[in-house]
Amino acid sequence: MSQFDAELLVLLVRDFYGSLASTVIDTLLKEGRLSLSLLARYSSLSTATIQRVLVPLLQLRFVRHSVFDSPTTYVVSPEHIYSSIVRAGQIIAYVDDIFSEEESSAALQVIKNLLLYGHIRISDYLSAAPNPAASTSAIATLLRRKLLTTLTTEEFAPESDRVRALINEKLASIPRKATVSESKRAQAAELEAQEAWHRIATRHDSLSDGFLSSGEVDTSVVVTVNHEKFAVLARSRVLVDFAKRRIGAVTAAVYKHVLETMEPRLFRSDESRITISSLEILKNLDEDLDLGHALAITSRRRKRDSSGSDSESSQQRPHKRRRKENDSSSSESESDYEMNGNNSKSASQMEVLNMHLALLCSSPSLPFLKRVGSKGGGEYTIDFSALMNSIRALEYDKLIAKRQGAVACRLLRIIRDKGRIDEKQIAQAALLPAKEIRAHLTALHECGGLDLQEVPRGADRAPSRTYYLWHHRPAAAHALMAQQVIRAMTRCYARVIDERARRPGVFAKIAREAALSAAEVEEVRKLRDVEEKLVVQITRLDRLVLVFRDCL
Amino acid sequence: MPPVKSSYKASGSSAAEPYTLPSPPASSASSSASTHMEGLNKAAQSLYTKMITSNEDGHVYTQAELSELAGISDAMKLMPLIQEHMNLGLVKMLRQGDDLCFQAVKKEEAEKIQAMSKDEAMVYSYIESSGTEGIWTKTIKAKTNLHQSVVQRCLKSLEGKRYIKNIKSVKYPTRKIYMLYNLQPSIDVTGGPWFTDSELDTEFISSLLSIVFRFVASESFPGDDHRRLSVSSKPRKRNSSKATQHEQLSFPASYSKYPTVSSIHEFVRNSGITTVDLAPADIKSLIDVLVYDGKIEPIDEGMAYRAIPGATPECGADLGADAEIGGGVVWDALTEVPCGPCLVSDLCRAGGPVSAEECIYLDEWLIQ
Ligand code: SF4
Repeated sequence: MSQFDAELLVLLVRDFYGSLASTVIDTLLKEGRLSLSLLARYSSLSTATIQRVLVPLLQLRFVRHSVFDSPTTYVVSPEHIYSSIVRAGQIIAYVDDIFSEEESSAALQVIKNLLLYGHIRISDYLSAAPNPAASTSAIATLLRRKLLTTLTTEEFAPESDRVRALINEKLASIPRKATVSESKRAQAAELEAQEAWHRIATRHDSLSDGFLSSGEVDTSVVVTVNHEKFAVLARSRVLVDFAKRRIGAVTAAVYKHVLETMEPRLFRSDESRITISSLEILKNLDEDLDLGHALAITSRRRKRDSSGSDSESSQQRPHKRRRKENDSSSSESESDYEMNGNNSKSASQMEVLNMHLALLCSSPSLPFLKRVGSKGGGEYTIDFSALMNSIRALEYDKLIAKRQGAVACRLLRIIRDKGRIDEKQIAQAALLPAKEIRAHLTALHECGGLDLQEVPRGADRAPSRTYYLWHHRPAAAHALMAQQVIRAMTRCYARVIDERARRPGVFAKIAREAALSAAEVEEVRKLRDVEEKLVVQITRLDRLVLVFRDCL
Repeated sequence: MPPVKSSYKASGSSAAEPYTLPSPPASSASSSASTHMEGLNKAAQSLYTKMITSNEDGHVYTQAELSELAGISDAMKLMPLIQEHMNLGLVKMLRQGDDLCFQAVKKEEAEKIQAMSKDEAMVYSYIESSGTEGIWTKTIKAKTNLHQSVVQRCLKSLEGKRYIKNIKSVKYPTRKIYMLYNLQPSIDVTGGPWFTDSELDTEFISSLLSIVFRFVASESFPGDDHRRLSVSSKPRKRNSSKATQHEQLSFPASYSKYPTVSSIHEFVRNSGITTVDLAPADIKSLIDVLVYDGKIEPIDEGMAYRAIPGATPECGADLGADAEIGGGVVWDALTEVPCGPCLVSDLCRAGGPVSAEECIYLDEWLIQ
């Protein structure tokens, strides 16, 4: 939890929930876990005030309370605040997207209420909802798609507490023995607790979660927004965007479909491997997608025609050498398509789909997809962590290239590729004069992209007899970059708030629904422009946060 | 005169020190080559001719080889012959390990040396023995034991006669290094094809990079002799007019004609872009830089390369940062907002010397 994270959260909470709430959050972020009386002392607020403020914060689960300590202590859940506020807009947009027009209003109502109140018991919500039937079906769909998840009482306690309680429980259940050392016992308990925690953490994954055995929604359960699932969806969007830029729109559409087919089985972004087959992918593939149109094949006819004219073919020849090993197989496959190629319905849909999937597998630097078997027309999986690593590295390089120039980026990529390496070798690989790269290396060092290691050649550690090796530590560099993104976000946000505060009169009038003068209308329009620009920027920065911090 | 050094390098450089030439007889200082030969007796003349013709230039003969060549097995009889050669500078004596060896010197060469002063000849012999590496003036001074000014004078006069030349070394840019006039400096000295006058020729490199990239790019995307696998039978949707501008047309993954190191090498060689002789390894270095710049990527375990869509031949890193292929999102959200690259960001806080509320960079950005 860095200073910038805290700054952003306090700002967000102040804007949405007022300055008292933000003071409480600020105090808890600064001091860590506090009991009510200590919270009152550090925040200089009265206990009564704090209690009043804590209610909504606990309801939203921005603050968790420990049930194991006495007196009760309070802890902030920073990730939860961040996703609830910063990603609220995206969540609403996504829900709007997946529902048909008639259904979406009820679904949006549910999501907005959940974002506002944190959690809701379904029966309570339905009793107040204008159209209970529509709301029930919306909730059912949201639950089935895991966009909502059920909530248990324990989940109002901090996660760390729950894990610790679990460990203690397991520890107590393992009897002390003279033959077993205490550290062994603790280890065993931890292992058991880990397993138990995994069961607890994934217990909402079951498809029947929140449903009665009859298949109807269990109205007695409490539900909340499932931020983990929304992070998965946001990640999918990032991946599809990349596929679009690296390969093309049609292949990206196929990829989107692959991810959507996998989606019901993807519960959180740190979970790995799901294997699906071409058959599964093909089943619901959009039939309007013209797969073959995006693929090129050698046009035999044209080639034969042109081979008549010597000058042209001799011009072309030297450039078009084939690699020997693949030659036979490729010409084979070409002729395959050639055989059927006379009519527009050339290769079967499955074959063409597999060609697109093969394209997604083809880039070693961005492994969108991985072929793991040949059952069902071909089995594919996505190694999300490897893929996100490549994407993170690519994003990082891009930012470095933009901020420090192309040369710095080239050097960084050389160092990442080669590991620890000295200046001379870097210059050699970069084909740049050694004296020219030093400044860039120093700049990269300053911004946290590079580390310098000194390897003395003698016991005296004389600088002249020392190797200086540069290296890149991705995890540290990316974390730093995430911090910078958060910082920029904070500034944008501060500016939004300030822009509003500059025009108090207009807002008061809008609140009173009084008529605005032409100048005031203009003023509001200007404010909306500025706001929009900043908010759009914040949303885009959030994508970087997703890449650099959340989808590791 | 071909590089001499390599022929006896194997035995260690110190062992191959040239023997200081015996001082030439005063009378022959101005004599011509023919007089050299005339000064020799028949046997010596024929031995010299054999030494020159029976092996490649600069061959180093052992004593045994010489006896065979001359048909004289008795060393006592052979030595005077060789001594005669040496007096005229036609044969050089070298030491290899513990053995003495001999090397024939061309007549013109011998004449050249005979015309030099003793000091000059000595300096010359060291420069000659340094081959294509060249030799540092300080080393000459140390080895010859001559005074600095004498060495300088010798170098000057030898340079004036175009016997030797001053070269620049990439490794030691500040040293004054000499080598024989007609030799080409070795790669160690010149730094290879990327160096011109011991400076990295960045212009040359970047133009080659861009040419190689253009070539790879031209081979990476389907062209005129390719067609689409299926011709769309359905009418394209109206609203997708923007998308059709960048309509996807890709080679299938099985496409096997992406450029390889050797095909790129061949292209560069045949294109006549440069007269510099580039080895496949040099081409590989260029390719690597393009990969590092995010313009091309290796596929098939580095067997072949293809261009990354959206990359441009302009120098510098690309990574498709601004490429809006198919209307994709531009992704540099952080650098676009002034706070990303802001230099005073550390000082920026509410009520601080700079703040988001009063920031002029943000002001400017917001009214853009
Ligand atoms: S608000 Fe202005 S001063 Fe502060 S970080 Fe952003 S650009 Fe820099």
